[in-house]
Amino acid sequence: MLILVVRAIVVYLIVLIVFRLMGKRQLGQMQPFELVLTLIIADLATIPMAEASVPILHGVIPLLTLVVLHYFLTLITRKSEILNKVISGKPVIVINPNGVDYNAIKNLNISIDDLFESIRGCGYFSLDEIQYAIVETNGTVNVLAKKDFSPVTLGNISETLKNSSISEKKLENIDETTIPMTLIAEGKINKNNLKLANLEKSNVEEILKEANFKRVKDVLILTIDGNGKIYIQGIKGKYQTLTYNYKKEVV
Amino acid sequence: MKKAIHIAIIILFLIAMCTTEQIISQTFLRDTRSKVDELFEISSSSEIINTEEISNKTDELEEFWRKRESILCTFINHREIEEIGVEISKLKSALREDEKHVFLESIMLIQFYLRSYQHVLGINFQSIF
Repeated sequence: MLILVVRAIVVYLIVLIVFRLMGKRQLGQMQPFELVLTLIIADLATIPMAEASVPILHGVIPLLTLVVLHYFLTLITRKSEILNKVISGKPVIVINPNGVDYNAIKNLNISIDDLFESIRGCGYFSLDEIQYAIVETNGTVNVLAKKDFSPVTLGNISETLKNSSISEKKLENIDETTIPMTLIAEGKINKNNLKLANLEKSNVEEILKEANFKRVKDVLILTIDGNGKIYIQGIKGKYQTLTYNYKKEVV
Repeated sequence: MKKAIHIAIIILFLIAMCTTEQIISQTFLRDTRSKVDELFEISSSSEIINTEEISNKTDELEEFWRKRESILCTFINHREIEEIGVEISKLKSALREDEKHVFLESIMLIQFYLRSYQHVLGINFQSIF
């Protein structure tokens, strides 16, 4: 019995170290491969803990191997966009301005009820309140509400105060919300999004010039929405927001 | 950087453990096998097995195995290697009773187990798949 107590302590400490090395992601934020690893780790940890005849190394060695594997897999997914898509998948738009994309939810193997449940979890109870809903790679659903149903922000209030004589017409002039698209992430141009946003590499270069960036490599994140609003942040330094003369429609 | 160092340490630990396991297990099993083969040769050529030489060799084998078994248990499932210990005990009782065929049978079983362990613990495709 004492052996089992000691083994349980040792295995617990090792699993603790393993999870610390794997990062701080919570269960709901895990990528598919991380979830698989967590399940295997749980199983591996119980074998030497419960069976005194199994050497503790039979549990520890595969656990440590998985940590190393996870480290390299994370490294690869960060470096290679293609492998990242293969291993983690890509976010899928399930609700767009035309309504629910049935093919998308069918491909994701989720039901309408599951979708509704997730949407309700985001605080929206009617589909017509939603402009876009995206199923992220970790399975969570994020919602972008239509302008009439968006929560009031401090920015909205200060604008209202500035334009105290705000008229209906002014409100109508505000463009419908669109999803900001990531054009650069971690120093790499996302060619697919560039194509979706109907932009060229030269447009990105213009934006970078305007934001005082010399190279794409120096940019941590660059997003653009349908109104041309740009959010840009370098690897070092504070973010900036600019407006780019951009008329084309963004998905 | 800190994480990379941790991973490097883990990789080194894994390499060290795997190499140690291979060296220790293969050496121990090979040495035990040569002792068992020697005992088989002596006992099969002898009319009676209850001789001092065979008795000494059997004791030697038992002592040799007991010492190494505890180390092998660090790497191998205890249950998987206990059969050899059981067969060595049978050897001793067969020696007392002077039952040659039982003695030889046990030796052959030990030889078979040792060969199997060497194969299972060694690096080969069959063990991977």
